[in-house]
Amino acid sequence: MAVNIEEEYDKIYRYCYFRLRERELSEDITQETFLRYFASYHHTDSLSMLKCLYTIARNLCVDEYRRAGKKETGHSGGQPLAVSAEEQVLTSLAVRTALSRMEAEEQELLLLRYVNETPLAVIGQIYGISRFAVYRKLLAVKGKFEEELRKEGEF
Amino acid sequence: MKKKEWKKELRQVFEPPAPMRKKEFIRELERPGIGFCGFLMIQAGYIRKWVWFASAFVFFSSLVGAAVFSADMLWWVSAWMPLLALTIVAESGRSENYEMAEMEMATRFSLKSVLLARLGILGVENLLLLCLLLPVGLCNNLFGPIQAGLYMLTPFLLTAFLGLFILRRFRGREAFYLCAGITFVISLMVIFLHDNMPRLYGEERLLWWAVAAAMFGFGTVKQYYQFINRMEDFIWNLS
Repeated sequence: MAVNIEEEYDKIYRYCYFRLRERELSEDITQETFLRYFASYHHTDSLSMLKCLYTIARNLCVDEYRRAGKKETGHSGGQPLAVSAEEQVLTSLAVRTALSRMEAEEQELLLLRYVNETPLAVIGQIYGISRFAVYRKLLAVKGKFEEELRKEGEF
Repeated sequence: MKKKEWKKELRQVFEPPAPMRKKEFIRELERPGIGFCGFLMIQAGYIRKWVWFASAFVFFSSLVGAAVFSADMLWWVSAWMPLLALTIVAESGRSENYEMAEMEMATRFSLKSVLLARLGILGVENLLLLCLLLPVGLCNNLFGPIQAGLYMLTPFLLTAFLGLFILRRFRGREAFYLCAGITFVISLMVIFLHDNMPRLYGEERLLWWAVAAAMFGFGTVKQYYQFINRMEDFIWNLS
């Protein structure tokens, strides 16, 4: 299965933006990820390529935290990720509130699996755990998220 | 809210501002292609292990027989030659055996280029093996290199010719079983003729062997040509 670079660019950018919250910086890191990948790897299968791309992007984001002396926070309910007013209207407040109550790693899992549709094997590689462990973790995170939505009267 | 709906909402929550330099970056991004050697290395990795084991078995058993037991190994080598030919035939028809030919035509590398690369790799490997086995086959007998070479090459080419002929006319596993049967019969025939008709291996019959080897060689090349052409017909039919 061939990898669509444009599509993967968007996903890696979304992932970097989730972690860094700075448009310019996220785009720089996204481009650096692709440059480093193509400089060092020549995978022919999409799974190996995605594993490498996400690992490079994650490491670059961690380097960026260290360089700037920042702390990983995750998404907060009060500060929306999307900037468009139309999107703010469309986006359910309950989802944002529920998300803000989740841990940063749980939010990252939700982003990777349900937004970026990253395969379990790739997520496992990012966290250094097996696919089965990822599956169990996802079930727990999904349950917690739905529980939070229920508290908001949305599920 | 249903699961489908919160997934949609989640997508909106996580949506970042649109990237500014995406198009320029992707346009200028130099994606390295795979070189010819890289392509061959990848294809060599997909050749099944039993193919390499068969070659290693023929080589080492002949070497041990000639060096340790001082035996005349020409007939041993000659009898195993059809197996080496079978490895090439089996690799050629692998996509069709598993009914994957149509799918492989839609992949990054065309089925034709993959097939040619694998046949090239196995052809070079068998040629090297033949060159290595020739001195082994010359040990402990009075045959010259041309004579020994012909006795080794003829069963190989006969198997390759008949195997490809079958591959073009039959499909699926049926073709492989027929090829395996023919390989077995030719191997037995080599041993039977050597034991029961020694006159066939006299110097006066050398010309016949040379003519037979040339005919089977020509037939093999022709069958390969038609086999590869049939791949093009496949593509034409699918498009």
